[in-house]
Amino acid sequence: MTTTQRPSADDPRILLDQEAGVFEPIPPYPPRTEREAEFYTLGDGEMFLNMGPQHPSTHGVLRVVLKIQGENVVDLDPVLGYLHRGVEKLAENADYHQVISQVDPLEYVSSLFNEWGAVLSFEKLLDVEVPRRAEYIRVLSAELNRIASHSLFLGWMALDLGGLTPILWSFIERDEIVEMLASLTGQRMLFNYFRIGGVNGDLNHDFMSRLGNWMSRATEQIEAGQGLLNENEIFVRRMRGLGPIDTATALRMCFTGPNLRATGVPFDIRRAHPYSVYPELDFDIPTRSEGDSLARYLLRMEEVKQSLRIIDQCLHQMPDGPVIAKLPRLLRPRPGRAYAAVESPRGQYATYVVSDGTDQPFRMRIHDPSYIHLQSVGLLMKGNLIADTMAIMASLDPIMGGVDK
Amino acid sequence: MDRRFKARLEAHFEDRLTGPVRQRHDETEIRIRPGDVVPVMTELHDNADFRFEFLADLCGVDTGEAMHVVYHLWSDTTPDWLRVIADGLSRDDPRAPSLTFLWPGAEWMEREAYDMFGINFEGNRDVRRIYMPPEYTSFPLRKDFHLPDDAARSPGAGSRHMEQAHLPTDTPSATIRRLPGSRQLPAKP
Amino acid sequence: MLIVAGTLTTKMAGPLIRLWEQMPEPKWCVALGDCTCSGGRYKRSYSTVEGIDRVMPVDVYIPGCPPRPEGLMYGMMKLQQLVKQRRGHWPERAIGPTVPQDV
Repeated sequence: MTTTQRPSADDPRILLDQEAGVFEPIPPYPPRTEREAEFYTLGDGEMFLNMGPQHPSTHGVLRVVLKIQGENVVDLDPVLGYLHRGVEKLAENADYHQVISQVDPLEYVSSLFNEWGAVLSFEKLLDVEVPRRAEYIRVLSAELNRIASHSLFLGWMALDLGGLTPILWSFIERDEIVEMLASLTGQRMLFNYFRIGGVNGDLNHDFMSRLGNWMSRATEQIEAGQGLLNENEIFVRRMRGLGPIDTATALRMCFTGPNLRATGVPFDIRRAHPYSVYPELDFDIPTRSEGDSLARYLLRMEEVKQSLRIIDQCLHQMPDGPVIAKLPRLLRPRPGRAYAAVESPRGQYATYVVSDGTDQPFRMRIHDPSYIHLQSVGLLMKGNLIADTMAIMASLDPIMGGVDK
Repeated sequence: MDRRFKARLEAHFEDRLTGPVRQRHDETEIRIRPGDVVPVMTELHDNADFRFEFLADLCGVDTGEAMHVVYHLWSDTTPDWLRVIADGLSRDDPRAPSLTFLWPGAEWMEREAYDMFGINFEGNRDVRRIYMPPEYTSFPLRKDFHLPDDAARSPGAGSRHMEQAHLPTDTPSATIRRLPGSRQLPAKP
Repeated sequence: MLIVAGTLTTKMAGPLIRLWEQMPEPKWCVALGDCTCSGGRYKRSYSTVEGIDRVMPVDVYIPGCPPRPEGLMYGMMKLQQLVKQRRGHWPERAIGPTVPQDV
């Protein structure tokens, strides 16, 4: 098969690889940067191993080029962009209301936090006051989503280490929560529930009965799921001391969320920079000091318990009132800038929006925690075995939809 | 809105700020020149009055006339977010100093700003494409990069300025109703 | 059987085609989700391929963003019907949206 004219590299039509041959890990051009030159030069006894974009445990389409010496990984270079959809550019062409559904599929496991980050920045830009009932519903649904996300993390973590049972158990748990959220929002994932000024619909009878039913069994169910792994000798011995990071390095690598709290820094945006009704709710911030994979895992499990506390308080303190502020369909904020950050299950999810006075954002920047955490995998991986690459990556909990935007 | 923080910023950086310190809700914003980024950031990081040890975000913005690099920082000395805008980068050859000496975690954020805008960060060891393939030559988030939009090519093209980006040449201008205040985008070449 | 879920970008198209070509026959392809069926909500982006049927022959399309679990199960049942029909002969499959004869 011959091509008459190859389209240029920027053409949106795909440049098909005509010789569908071997996927060389070494790029076919000379190194353009210092780091590329350093990485793609082989030392004595080293070789490259390509963990391709299609891989059972790369959490999505991520390509990692490993430089290995025997079984030990000397260095690694993640190659991203296999899921890059250009959300920031599409957001410049969409209404403020439409952008909320565009940002849903970024961290698709915890979509409500993506929406919350976007909606919070728009509300700051527009000086909108959200009714209190809407704020409580937001916190309630978001904390449910946090539990669902951490359950998935548990299952995925075990799957990457080779355990096949915990993921099935965590999917049963996640299924219940997700069906609950479906009765509230209409979808099982990518909820599209938050609106500028509130939420899309009030709590309904189906949701409340499912929630009550689940809450009565939640603690035992979660304990059972965690009991599979917390004291499992194989799990603990593999995870203890794996990929340790200390506080200073974590701060310099811009870590946030459970990955930072596992190193000892009690930084939680819900307490450090409160938003919504979190100042009125009583919850602790679990912190651990070891900084290794086991600490990150145990920390997320403790966060699930704190989320249950928050949900309980929300149910008791839920006020009456409207669930959305009255806003015009055509929203034209005055020119300005706004930055809003929320504490997603992965870390700081932030949105920076620049408005120029029209009904479409001029620039919508989405700051995703998984993207930041993935760049430190190389730092944590030095000297470990290939099998541990996946364990470390899983313990940082990346979601490739968020990494690639 | 922390007034004392604003006073502290004005006292420390009065000669480096290119505009007034703006505050709105819980954000404080300062504008500096790209050449001053390194001293200002080092001061914000090391000085005991400020202690901005946490870099929350680093991004590029293309305003159509110039490019900015926007940094967001957080410290426990003030309840506000600090936004530092390094404005005045030229659109033809935008260059800015890198913050990887202070925060190695800024490396990938700068790579993304390079990939999307073409901003070259001096001092970053790894300025190469991160999202787009390595042979890609355009910078997608620049304002002169237009998305292909099939709605504009249809006879029913409406009045939204997105749909006016590629005007068919034989559409009479009387049928196009512009919203007041909408930007006139250049026609696609 | 290859289930393609999630958006197909121009960077990923090459590896996906390589993966399809590496699969031994008899092979089937299922497009799961709006983005693989037609590009979905990212249709106008600079880096999205508008549906995987532009690069590979698709047997079953399962729409939805996200697709319902019942939709996935229905798609699997449809695939079972197709397997039964095609057992013994392997027609030339075109790349591009095709409408089966017995619709």
